[in-house]
Amino acid sequence: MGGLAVVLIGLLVAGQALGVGVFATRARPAKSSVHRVHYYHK
Amino acid sequence: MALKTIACTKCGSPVPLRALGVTVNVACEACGSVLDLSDPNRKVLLQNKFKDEYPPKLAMGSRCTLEGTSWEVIGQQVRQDLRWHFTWEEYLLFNPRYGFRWLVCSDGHWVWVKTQAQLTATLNANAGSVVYQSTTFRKYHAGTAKTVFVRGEFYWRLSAGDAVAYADYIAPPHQFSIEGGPLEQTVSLGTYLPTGVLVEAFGLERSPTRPAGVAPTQPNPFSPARQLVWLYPLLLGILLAVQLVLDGLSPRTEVLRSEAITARDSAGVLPEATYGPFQVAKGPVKTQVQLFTQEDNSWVDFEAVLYNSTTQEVRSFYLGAEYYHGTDAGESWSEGSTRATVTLAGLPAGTYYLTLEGQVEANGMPHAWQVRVVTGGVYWGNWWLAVVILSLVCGVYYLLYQQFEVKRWADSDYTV
Repeated sequence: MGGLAVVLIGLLVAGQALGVGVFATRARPAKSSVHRVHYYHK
Repeated sequence: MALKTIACTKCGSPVPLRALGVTVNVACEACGSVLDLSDPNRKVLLQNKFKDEYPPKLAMGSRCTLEGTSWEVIGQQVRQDLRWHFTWEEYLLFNPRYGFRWLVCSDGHWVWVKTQAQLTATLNANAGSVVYQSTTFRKYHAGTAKTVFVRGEFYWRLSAGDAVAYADYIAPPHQFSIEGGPLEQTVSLGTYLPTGVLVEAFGLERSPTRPAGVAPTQPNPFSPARQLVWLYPLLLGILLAVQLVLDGLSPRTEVLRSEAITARDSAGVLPEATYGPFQVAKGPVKTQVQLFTQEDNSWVDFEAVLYNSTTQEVRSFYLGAEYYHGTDAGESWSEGSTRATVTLAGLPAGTYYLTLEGQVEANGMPHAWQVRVVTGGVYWGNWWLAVVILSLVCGVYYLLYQQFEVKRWADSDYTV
């Protein structure tokens, strides 16, 4: 159990450091992303 | 050294004596007669009815090394519980210096037993337990045992239909046994012997038995589960402490708070709005995009685009809110919320723009909204997942422990 807890703590710290949230919203391709990128650069 | 033999009184076959001077009975392997060694005429005390009914699992005369001492198998006794009629075998082992030991075989499991010279146990008959050498043994079985078969030599006088009361108490892997009546009691202490140890001790190629079920003294392979009573809350506490430390190391910062916007839809589409630029100083970081609306029996669904002008990365996601309420049969109800939050993981540092393009029900009604972007904080979803994994593993482990104990006590006369 101790080993499992160490692994879980390691994953918690790594997830925080690397910015991985298992239940966070997944990014998806934007319909008009390219259009908007040009827009922002105007 | 040559083995001393005597001639069987009944059939004349040679009968080897392995513990001469110590044993008082010997059984003839050829005819099954049990001879009285203390009688000059070697009179027959007993006659095994079926001499081949119980072939020895450990050969008479075979040797083993246990407790760092060499032992020789000199006798085999098969006993039967008079009430339940189950049988078990007891093998008598002898060492000239250390005396006698027993190897008891039941359902293919083995127990190494030593008779205790002095009884210093505290018997608690009502509670069904015995305290011996600071260990509490719980009552497992009690009954009357009858010897149904003997082979080899024994150090006490056998008589036909030997029956004796016995009680077994267990504290796995140990067993405490009491035999006899008020006049004479024999107390012994046994320890479970894995078949692998037995095979090694006798130098066998394979185990003479195949253990069935769970033995009363068999160690529970999941016994560390007993520590979960304090270990599980401790591990949960450590997980929580780590998460709170991480939370303290990642302070929350509001990087965007938009003006409140009110607009009417055009064919169900709200005018596109862009917010920013705003800075995310340090990444990757957890980012929450919060939407505040004044929806009232209506809904709004934004397609949001987050553009990082530093890296030119684009993240797209939906952000919607719906809130309905009313009265039904005199009871008011509501569902949904005028607020919505989306959590984005690992947002890199940079300068960002947020664009919202909303869709609503096409009715030309005004809609109001405001957005906030907050960076920092910890991923509580990760923490809850860790808690679920830890709980599942601990729970399964504890169930396996309990299942093993239920099997152990299934054959006991006494409940757990």
